[in-house]
Amino acid sequence: MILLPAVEPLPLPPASLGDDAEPRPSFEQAYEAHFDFVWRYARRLGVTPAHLDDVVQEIFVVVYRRLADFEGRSSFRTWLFGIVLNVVRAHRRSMGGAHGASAGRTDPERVADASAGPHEHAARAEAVRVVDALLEALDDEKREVFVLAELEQIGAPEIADSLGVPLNTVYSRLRLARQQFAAAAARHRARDEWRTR
Amino acid sequence: MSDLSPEDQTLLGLARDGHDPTDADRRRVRAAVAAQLGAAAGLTVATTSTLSAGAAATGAGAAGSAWVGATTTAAVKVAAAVALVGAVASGGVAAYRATRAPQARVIVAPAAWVSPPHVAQTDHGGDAPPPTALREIPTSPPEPVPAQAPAPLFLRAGERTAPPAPALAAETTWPPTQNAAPTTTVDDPFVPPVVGAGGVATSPPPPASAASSIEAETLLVRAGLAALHAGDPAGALVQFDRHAREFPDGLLAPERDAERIFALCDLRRVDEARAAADAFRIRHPGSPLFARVRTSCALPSNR
Repeated sequence: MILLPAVEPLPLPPASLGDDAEPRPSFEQAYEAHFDFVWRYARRLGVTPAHLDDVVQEIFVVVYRRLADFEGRSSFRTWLFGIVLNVVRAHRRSMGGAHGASAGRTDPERVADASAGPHEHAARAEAVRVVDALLEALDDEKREVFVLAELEQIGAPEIADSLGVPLNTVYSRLRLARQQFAAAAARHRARDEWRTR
Repeated sequence: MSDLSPEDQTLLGLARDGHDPTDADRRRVRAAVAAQLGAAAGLTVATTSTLSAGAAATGAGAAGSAWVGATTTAAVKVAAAVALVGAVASGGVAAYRATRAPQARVIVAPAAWVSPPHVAQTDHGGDAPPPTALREIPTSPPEPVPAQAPAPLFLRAGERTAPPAPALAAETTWPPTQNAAPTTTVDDPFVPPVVGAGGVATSPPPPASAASSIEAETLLVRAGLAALHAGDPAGALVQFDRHAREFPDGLLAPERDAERIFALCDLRRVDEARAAADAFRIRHPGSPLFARVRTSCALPSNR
């Protein structure tokens, strides 16, 4: 296990009012329902496989500790997004800026080396590798939004809630993220002649 | 609302299901989380004070079932790690390991996991668990466990079958003794041939109980770490080799194997270190310790 830094008190997502307060799930329910998402999201935010176990574990430890704070004024998922982001950000800080940005991450230049046969499985695996590499082109703020919107297909209002930023900020980051992603993808195709399929 | 090109959207669509955890991932992390929360519930009171009764009960349930399930090894390991740090936290070993590995395992500072979030975390002294940590390791003999119907790791509110947290440690079951018959596997690269060198115990007494084997393991690894830190890699090697003979598959085997590599490096026995590192990778696949082994003399950057 890796020593993670203390997670600072969370800027919990603002309550999105509404009378339909969501009941607080038990820890087990929350774990069962959201483990896969937490795992994927942390990985896509750039946590390397070597650290993923520890980061996901820390996320659920925080969930456990703070579960009593969840008052159902936002959706539980929105509340959970905030925790994932905070733990991942703390992890990034602990890794140090430059070191964390490069250590163990996929090198876009090498992504195409592993391209395999025509089978769908290989195509998917290849797509995952390419997307991983392209996500590296995004800074952390844009990456957080882009992954939620484009890979998890979460709506912008919920993203804004979970990040605690105005909706317009989400749209702005998302627009820039898409531009950067598209540019990186174009460069990648030009370089490696990678083809979708 | 996406203005990505169809090609990019296809790419993202293909990747969308990527990164799902495997079943092995799910099992591994679940065991770790259960063990982690079990340790917190059993060994500290600081964090539980902020939890609702329901959450605390859930935690106790998680801990209790973790001990009796297939995940006992992980749970015990946390306890052993806490015991180990209790012994070394005030010394320089933690600092030693930290200098070797920026990503030091929590074994050197488990207080980081169980202390309140606002407490500054250091490797030195202040957060050391109380010296009674060792005694908090459960010592009761195994109880009958219904094998066919493993309890859920996390109990729902109201299913409070586990005892309250403070009593948890004393009432949980213990895994079967796994080192009752210490053996030396000839082709095990981690177990050096038994030599008659002075100071090396030849035939350890069989552990009287699992708890004592944990303590014995902890003592050996701790002694090895202390020697390594004190600039005595030969002495450290004696301790690690002894651990390897007495507890070839012990709970602290990964730690021992990793530290042993560093001892070999300090002794400039690079070939042996490399062989040990290769074996480490096979023997402990996926171990986070390997990241540190990579920094040793065993794996130069071109390998």
